[in-house]
Amino acid sequence: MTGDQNHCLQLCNLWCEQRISEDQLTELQTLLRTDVELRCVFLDFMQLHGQLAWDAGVVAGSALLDSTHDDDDVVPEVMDHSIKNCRSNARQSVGIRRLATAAAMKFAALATAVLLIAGMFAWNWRQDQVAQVADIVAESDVRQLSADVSLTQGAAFTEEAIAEAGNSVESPGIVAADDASIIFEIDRLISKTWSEHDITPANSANDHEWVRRTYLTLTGRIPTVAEVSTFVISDSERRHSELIDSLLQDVRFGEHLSITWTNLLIGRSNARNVDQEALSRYLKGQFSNNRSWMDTIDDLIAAESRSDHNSATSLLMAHLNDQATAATAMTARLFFGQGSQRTELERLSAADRRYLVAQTMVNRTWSQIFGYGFTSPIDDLETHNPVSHPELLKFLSQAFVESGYDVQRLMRWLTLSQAFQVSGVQDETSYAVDNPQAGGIPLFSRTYPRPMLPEQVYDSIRIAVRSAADQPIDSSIGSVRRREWVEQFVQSYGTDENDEHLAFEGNIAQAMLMMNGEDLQAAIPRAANEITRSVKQGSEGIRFSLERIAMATLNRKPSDHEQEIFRNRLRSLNRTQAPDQAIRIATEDMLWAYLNSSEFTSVH
Amino acid sequence: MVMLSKWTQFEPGTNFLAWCRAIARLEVFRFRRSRHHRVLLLGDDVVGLLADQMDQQPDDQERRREALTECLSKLRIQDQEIIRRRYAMGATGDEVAQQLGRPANSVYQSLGRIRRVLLECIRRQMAAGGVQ
Repeated sequence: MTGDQNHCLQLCNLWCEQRISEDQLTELQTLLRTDVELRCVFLDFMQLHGQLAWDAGVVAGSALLDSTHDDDDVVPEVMDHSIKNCRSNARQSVGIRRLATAAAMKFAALATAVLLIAGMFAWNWRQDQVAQVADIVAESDVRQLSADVSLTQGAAFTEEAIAEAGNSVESPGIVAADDASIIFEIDRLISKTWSEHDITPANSANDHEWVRRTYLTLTGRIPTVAEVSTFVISDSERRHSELIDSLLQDVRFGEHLSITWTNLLIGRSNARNVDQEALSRYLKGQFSNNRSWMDTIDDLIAAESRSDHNSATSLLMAHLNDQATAATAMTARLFFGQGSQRTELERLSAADRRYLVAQTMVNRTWSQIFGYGFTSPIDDLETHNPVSHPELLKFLSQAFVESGYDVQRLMRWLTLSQAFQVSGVQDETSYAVDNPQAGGIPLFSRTYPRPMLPEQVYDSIRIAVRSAADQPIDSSIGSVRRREWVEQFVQSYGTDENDEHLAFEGNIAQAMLMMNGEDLQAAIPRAANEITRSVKQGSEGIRFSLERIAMATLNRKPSDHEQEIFRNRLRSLNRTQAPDQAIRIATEDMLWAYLNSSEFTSVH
Repeated sequence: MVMLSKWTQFEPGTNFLAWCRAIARLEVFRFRRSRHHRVLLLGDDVVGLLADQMDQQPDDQERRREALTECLSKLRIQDQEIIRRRYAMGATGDEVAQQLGRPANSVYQSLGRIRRVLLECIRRQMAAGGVQ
């Protein structure tokens, strides 16, 4: 579904529940007037609503119904009669009972849809007071809880992560205890929804799983073999938070976030020829030095409307404005989560504005870390769009404001919360309930696997091949090269909102051939050669080679099945090759196979 | 009643359902005018557009209904329960929330989600042509 269709559906839902405001109704009508597709969505929706309501006693069948509905009295009388008459007339005119029933049913449903368009509001007309009361209760709940948290903070909650959070952190300006209680509260609110839905969260991820996910999340690339083993053999009780803190300080953290936000702001294809390099450099500085997010936004927005061309940002933002007047609408969505033009947002009170900024950033960051945000789409936080975890979003937004819009700290809270520690494997019942891919609300009770971004693929392929061969990782990867590589897969739609189509389907073989300058076709055999050059003969050498490439690509040990495949391949090669050649070729084949696996190109 | 009183205007040989619909549409407009002060309604022009659109759509209500039946049976038990309370028992979202002891917001959210799942399921079923 497109964003408009989603939006239209949300409005439909509000409408049929009589929770729509006049503004939203106007919006809905505008949508319906302008787009025939949306009219189809609306009609489909109304037919569904109509069939559910009208035919409740028939359609739903035994599974759903022990009582028939008694809504007839609120259906407008005249319509009710006309439909009944139509049914009987239909019978008369067709004559054959079976067909007649079919026709009547057809008509009933059609008429219902029309009828609902007209009469829905007469139906179940209620004040929405209960909901308001519930909101107030929820709000005071949160306050109560924040107070509770500071009292019970010493009590161990669930994960060691919380204990860690309380003990570590040397960054200036960060009060460790605050972090612990914030993480505690995130965990409480998330696990509350787990028990509400009666599901069991997945077990904690193992070290290999966790370290890979953490590197990909914070630095945008997989860890090297050495980085994995450093973490795995560490016996520090605080190794999770230690790794997170060191990665937040890593230059690649700033670079990763800067890539993410450059893509959001001007798109990968850079259809408008903005000075991408300057924007990336500016953003990298902001994220690396952990500047307040509010300051960054102010810079970007101020630059948008200023005409002096002194700073890099104003130059490029002015540039952006020259060619796309709707850029302001885009920043309104990205920074404020609102669809309206920014001029309207400027009339907001300072406090409201602060909250919107925080809320939008929290939601975006959450989705970057967990794969789903609290709303869908994530940059629509207007009131009509339902929020999956309203209490948590509110709590985190307030905490983010109070932290002075500290992006690193926000990342720290989320990656140390329990939802980040869980593995991707879960019992079937809970899996079925917590299945956002099938349209359910994300409950974050396990890690949702998701494809890597193209930038992550590029960096990870390099890391994997080099680290397999035990070559030094050249940190000056060259963002220009990476971008050129990514651009090959991007087709811009050229709209004001940077819509683009990413023709990247994880076909690594093809993707790698296009890595100019890296010459992977040579690098992979070289890596295989390097690994097997010094290995011992026999089973120990076989085990070492396979483990090395599994660790370099998937950051885990090879599975039994993979070992079997490897041995079989080796056996058949041994018939025709000398032993040292056989193991080299088998290793090279296996390295290709790992790099081509969907596991390699996913964050999980 | 209205249909009967206008029965004499029906021309044999034309589409009976279409005629019924046309009458229904007029009645809808009349009804809306009489209720207008009470509720938020769509504009006449929008309703007209929607009705035109509906006239163009194929009469596949029965297949839709079968698809819906199928899709309802695929819902999770707790989702079926929400639909049953909301539609079969005619409760409002707020009442369903009270009955289930859940926050109203989360019930409305669930309803939205379930409707979307049903819509997509119906769309798939219709596209697959499995229901005839």
